[in-house]
Amino acid sequence: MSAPSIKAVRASKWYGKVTALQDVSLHCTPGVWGLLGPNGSGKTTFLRLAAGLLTPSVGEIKVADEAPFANPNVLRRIGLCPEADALYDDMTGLDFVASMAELSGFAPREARDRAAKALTDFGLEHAMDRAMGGYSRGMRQRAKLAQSVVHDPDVLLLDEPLTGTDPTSRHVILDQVRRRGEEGAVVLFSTHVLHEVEALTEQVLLIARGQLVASGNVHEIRDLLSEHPHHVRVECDRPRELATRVLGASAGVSTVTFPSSTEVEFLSSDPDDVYATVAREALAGSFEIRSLTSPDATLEALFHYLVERSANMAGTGADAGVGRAKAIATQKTAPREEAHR
Amino acid sequence: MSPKPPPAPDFATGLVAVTRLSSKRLLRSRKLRLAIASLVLVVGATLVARYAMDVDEPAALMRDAARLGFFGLLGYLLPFLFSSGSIAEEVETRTLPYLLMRPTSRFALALGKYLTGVLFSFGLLTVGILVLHVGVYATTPSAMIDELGSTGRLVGGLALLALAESAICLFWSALISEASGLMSTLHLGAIEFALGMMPFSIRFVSMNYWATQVAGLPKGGFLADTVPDVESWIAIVVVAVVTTAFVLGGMLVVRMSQFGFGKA
Amino acid sequence: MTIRDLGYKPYEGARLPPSNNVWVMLRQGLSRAWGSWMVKIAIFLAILPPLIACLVVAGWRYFAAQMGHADEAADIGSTALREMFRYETWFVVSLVTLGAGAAAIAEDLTFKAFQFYLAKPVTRLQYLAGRIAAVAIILFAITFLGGLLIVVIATVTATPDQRVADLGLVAPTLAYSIILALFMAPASVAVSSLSPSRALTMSAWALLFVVPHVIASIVDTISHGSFPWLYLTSFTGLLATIADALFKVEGESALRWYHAAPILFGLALLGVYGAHHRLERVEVIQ
Repeated sequence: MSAPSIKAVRASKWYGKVTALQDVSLHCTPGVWGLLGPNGSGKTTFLRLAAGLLTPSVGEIKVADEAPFANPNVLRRIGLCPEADALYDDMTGLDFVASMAELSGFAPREARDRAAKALTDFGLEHAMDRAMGGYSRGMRQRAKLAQSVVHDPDVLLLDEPLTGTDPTSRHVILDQVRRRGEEGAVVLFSTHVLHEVEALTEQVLLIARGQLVASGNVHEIRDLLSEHPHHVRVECDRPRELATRVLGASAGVSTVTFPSSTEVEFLSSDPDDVYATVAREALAGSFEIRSLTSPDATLEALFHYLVERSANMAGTGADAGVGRAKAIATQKTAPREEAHR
Repeated sequence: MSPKPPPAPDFATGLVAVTRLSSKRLLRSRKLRLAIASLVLVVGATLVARYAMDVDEPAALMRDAARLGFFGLLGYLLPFLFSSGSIAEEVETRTLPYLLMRPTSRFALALGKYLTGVLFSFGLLTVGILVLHVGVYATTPSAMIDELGSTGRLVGGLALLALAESAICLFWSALISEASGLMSTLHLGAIEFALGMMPFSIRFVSMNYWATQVAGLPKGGFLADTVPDVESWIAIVVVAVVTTAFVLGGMLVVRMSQFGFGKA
Repeated sequence: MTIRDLGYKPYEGARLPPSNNVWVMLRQGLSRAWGSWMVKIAIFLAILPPLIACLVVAGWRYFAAQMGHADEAADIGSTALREMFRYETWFVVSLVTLGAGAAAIAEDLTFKAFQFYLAKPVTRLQYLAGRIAAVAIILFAITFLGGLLIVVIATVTATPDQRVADLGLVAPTLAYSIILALFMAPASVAVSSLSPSRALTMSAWALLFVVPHVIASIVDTISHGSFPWLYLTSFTGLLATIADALFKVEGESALRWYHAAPILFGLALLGVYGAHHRLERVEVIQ
């Protein structure tokens, strides 16, 4: 049995004149991956392609080295939690998940045991014998997740799994997702709530307007975007004097602001130079440095930057920068031969 | 411990799983209650009329009730209720991904849905006709035994009807899921019912007509005398071939279709 | 950045009266009905019976005149109208009421649309009136326009002394179209209020349309026509009885228009009351 993976090679999908996914190449290996993108960016289409519900219009999608569409040999390894709030409302949670296990090849008794365990894992042990039409939104979400893992898939596709869940449910769900990733499954987790992904993984795929704009480790991607000016924020005892020193030593600083009486923020095209200058001053004992942070290093900042950039460059043919970021990011995760495509 | 997904189920296992799931859902559905209510009304009204009007010829009454109530109504209605939404409703309620992402073969999925529809339709029709048989001949025990053969033929005809009409409904449900009810209604109404009443060989396009021939019922409709007589075995073969074509068509559509998953 | 608080400024422009809501619901209902495949196909199918009936009327009159028996074709206009209405009721009215009527309220329940309608100053009665009126207008247009075409052809092809009588068929045509629309629209919309499941309400309406008629015909056959009363439980049977009376079709049935009319009227009222009663219980936010 080949190792679990999701691989896309120049995959595109369009519906009539609408392009939902365009020329996406990526390779997801075991672990948790965050699939990020604004609404309508193509996340759900990509997950449906990976789950074998759709076929790509051009290119190919492979899961565990095989095309998934209507392919039982691959589908047995895939678990999908769809985005839509749709369940068989007239069935109990236990009947529903057990039926899904039966369709995955388990005998009725074993299917029922597995269903009970999966529902218990997601905190539905007290509600599993009730009709799902009476479930709350969070319970419905957990029932959907239970059916997606009931057959122990090693490729787990979760489309906005935290929608409508309360903090306790989120904790349960994130815990289960993290565990599956640690056990060696490929978990692809789509969301547009960025801190959810940050809490789970540093491996992200960023999709905007149907294109993969970046993939890989969030910090590595951030570093690759060298042409994008960085913010560097320093909290110290005399911020105005520090600003003067940094402006004198670092040529890349374009803007200096003072968010508070003890903080100074630099916008620089050469942030390493700023870090080095601040470090020198700190070592020399000239300033009492309390903190040194980069607000741009958060996933949210990166996400907004890439999405805005993708929107600005769409249709202008001027997406070389994004293409470069994507190519380099892909190089870190995809096989060498695909990185050169 | 890494996850160990089970091997993909074979065709028969998948078929049984789909049939079990579909049966569980139908048993809980209001459609089943509507179907039972219709059956009870037809059988009940016939039996009330039988005894309230002191009918001389129970065998003729049985034939009339079968022709109008079973072959003229329930034989369309029950397969329509149980099969016309089998795929389309899953698409509409967005539950189809749960089934299509499973390793069960899509052929087994379509066939399982079809068999469930046939099972429920034929089951109810058979129960209804047997209850009618017992009720109509309750006061004449010898006739109850003598007429078993005729009633058996009716059951045979109804079996063919359930197989054929369910196949037609499944096919439209898979092919045009957005308007499966409409397409099934038009097919059953225009081809199965209306053309089944036409003169000459036109009515050969209606499976309902062939099924009534197997059941041993007299030809009705316009200019019935102009319709050529055909052996029962030919009727059975025709219905079997057409049914198989519709079922295979439905299975192929389910195997190949992406069912508009592109729409949000 | 400073914030300028403009405060709340109520709209002081002209507003349409609340009764306008019915028209808004009606227009929306018509556009939604037009979105239904069933209604589109029904409207297409509705063209065929009048055209065929017109051909039959014109052909019959022509050949009768050629053979010197023009008086034998005198009643062909009313007979054609009666038959046309019979087919339209079974094959067109059924589809329109299925597609536009029996799904109307169920769809709004399914898609939780009441929070949009009823959060506006739309009363439940206005909502219901708009829904029923949309179906009724389509039904009326289909049946009356088809009937009118036959009346025109019958009048044009009639002999001079028959022409006034044929033109007079406009009155029963108009009356039947109004009765059909006023009865079938509330009945089908009332069924659509019974459940949020569109499939279920449509199935229930299809059963109500067909099952009582079939049961009545079984009993009628068994009794050799001596017990036609069960047709009074069938929509199609009730309408057929009214049509027979309007177009003066002599039949052997003991059923008369005065048996059917009160039941039709009662069922229409019951439909409106029942649907309104169901709507009163709908919670805006579900």
